[in-house]
Amino acid sequence: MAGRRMCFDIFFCCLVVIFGGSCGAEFVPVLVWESNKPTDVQISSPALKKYSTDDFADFFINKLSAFGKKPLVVVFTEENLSVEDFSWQDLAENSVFPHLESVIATAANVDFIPSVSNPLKALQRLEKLGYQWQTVRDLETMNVPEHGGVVMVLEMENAKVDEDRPDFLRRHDCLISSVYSRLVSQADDVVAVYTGRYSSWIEPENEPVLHRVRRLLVEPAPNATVMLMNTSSILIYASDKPQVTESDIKKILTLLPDTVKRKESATYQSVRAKFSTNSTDQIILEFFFFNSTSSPGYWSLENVTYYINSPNHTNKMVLTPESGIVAPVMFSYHCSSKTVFKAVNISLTFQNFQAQPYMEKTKAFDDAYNCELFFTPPIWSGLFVTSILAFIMMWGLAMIMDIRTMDQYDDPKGKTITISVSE
Amino acid sequence: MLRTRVAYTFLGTGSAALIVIILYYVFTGKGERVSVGWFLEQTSPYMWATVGIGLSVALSVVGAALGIHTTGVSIVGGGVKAPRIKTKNLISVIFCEAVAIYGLITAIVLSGMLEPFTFTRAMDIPEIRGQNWLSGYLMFGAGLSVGLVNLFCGIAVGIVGSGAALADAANSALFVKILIVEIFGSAIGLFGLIVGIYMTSKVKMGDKM
Repeated sequence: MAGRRMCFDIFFCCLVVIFGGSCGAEFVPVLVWESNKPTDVQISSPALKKYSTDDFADFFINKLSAFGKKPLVVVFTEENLSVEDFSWQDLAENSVFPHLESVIATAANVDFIPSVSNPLKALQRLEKLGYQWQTVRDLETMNVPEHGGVVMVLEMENAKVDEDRPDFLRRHDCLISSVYSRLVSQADDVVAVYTGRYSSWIEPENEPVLHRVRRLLVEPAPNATVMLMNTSSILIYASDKPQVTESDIKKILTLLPDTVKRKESATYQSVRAKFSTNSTDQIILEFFFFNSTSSPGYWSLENVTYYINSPNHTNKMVLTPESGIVAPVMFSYHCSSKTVFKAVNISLTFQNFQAQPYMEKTKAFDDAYNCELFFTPPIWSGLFVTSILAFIMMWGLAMIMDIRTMDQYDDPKGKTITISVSE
Repeated sequence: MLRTRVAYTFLGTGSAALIVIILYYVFTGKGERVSVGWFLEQTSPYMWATVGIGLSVALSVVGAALGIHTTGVSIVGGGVKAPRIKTKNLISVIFCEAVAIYGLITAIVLSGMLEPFTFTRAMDIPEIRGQNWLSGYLMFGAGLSVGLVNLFCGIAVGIVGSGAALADAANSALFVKILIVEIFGSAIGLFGLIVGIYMTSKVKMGDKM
């Protein structure tokens, strides 16, 4: 019962959060200007504050109350408007609102509030103060009211199909300035508001939509020291150039990407590539991936054959991995510590090695079998022995707790028992 | 009861942990990684051998101790009213003690067979590896079997000895007959020792074939 009530409470809270979030999310800029300065009273607003609907309503009503008689309020609303529209400039550093700029230059008490939540709702409160609400649908048949006390709302239409946003805003700019000048010529005090209903966070230009594709296999940058061998069914990666130590001489191998070749037989797949070093030696490494016959469904990297062509000698050696590289087919093998292939007097080291053969598509590695286990054999041995000891401990404790002393007939105040010994 | 609560906690936590771990491996397609064979192959034969040695002496002594506790308490209690039983009934205690001796012998024999071996040589030569791993498992098995057998033998002999002491206290003619029951009980401890010694005859640790 209590559980069911808790579920209901959680559901209710989620609903509130969702609705509250959706309502309170939109913040639009508001530009307010007046045709005449009513008095010397200046009402300014803090520049970067986020205004709630109530705050903006208070601010606007304060503004209007500075007038003697009620002014004419004209509200130009767009569907989408944001601060970026006001600050947008084209290449010639012209803004989208040239006419509006000239209007504001001659206007009084210009206020620009960058983020107000739902300003239209705040303006609707003017109706309660005695303002008449008038929605203008057609500009031709618009009749300018002779007296003030009217809120004229002009909802400007949406963009045409082939119009981009700067042109669309310029068109509206012309419209606003023409309507405003008409009103100013006919009414005494005009307070103009330019705002939007929703924020236009993304400019709807003809831009290609950016899809972020998550790539498991990052294409190496040209200067990166990443080794990547990619053939039709085998993928080998190392985060650093491999290093060969041959009788105490260290060499760093750089892969020549065009020399990567694949070979396949019934029991193995192999990939072979040429590597260059800083000396004139040329080294060929061939990785042999055997499909295991002893345990079917597994592949293993049995050995790496190392051919060296140097001016002094040519040599072929078979290097075996220090720890077995085995993984099931459809899994890759990965080791973040060094992967070492050894033979007598020679060792080949890879850092962050990852390999997978028998792939259908070599776009990305499949899930990796890591060389670092979570439960290593020593951990398991420890757990095994500790559990034996813990079990013995539990048993011992249980036995100790079962000890009952023979105190049924004990009577500290009674006579002590005496036994007559008869031998 | 506290003991049941402790037992349930122990078992419950263990089972929950085991289920979560195993299901993680199964659901990520790595089910074959949960491998008892891998565990047996990768763990060191030293661990198995030494655990076997420890268990052989430890479990035998636990059995002997429980037996002596049970029978000793009865002898002491019965001896209060019938002091004649004290000397004769010590034979029950000796039977329990013998069980501990079996465990000790096995442990000493197994310890003598524990030899070091080099890991790389074992990895290179499969026969050496097989031999050492076999020895590890054999010593574990021998120790475990001797230990468990002596544990239960000791408990059994103790309970019978306790009954014998009390019966002797009541009627001294009964003792000899009850002693036969005890002898049979003691024989089973000997079985464990025989099996353990027979298993350890195959043990050969070290680097040589």
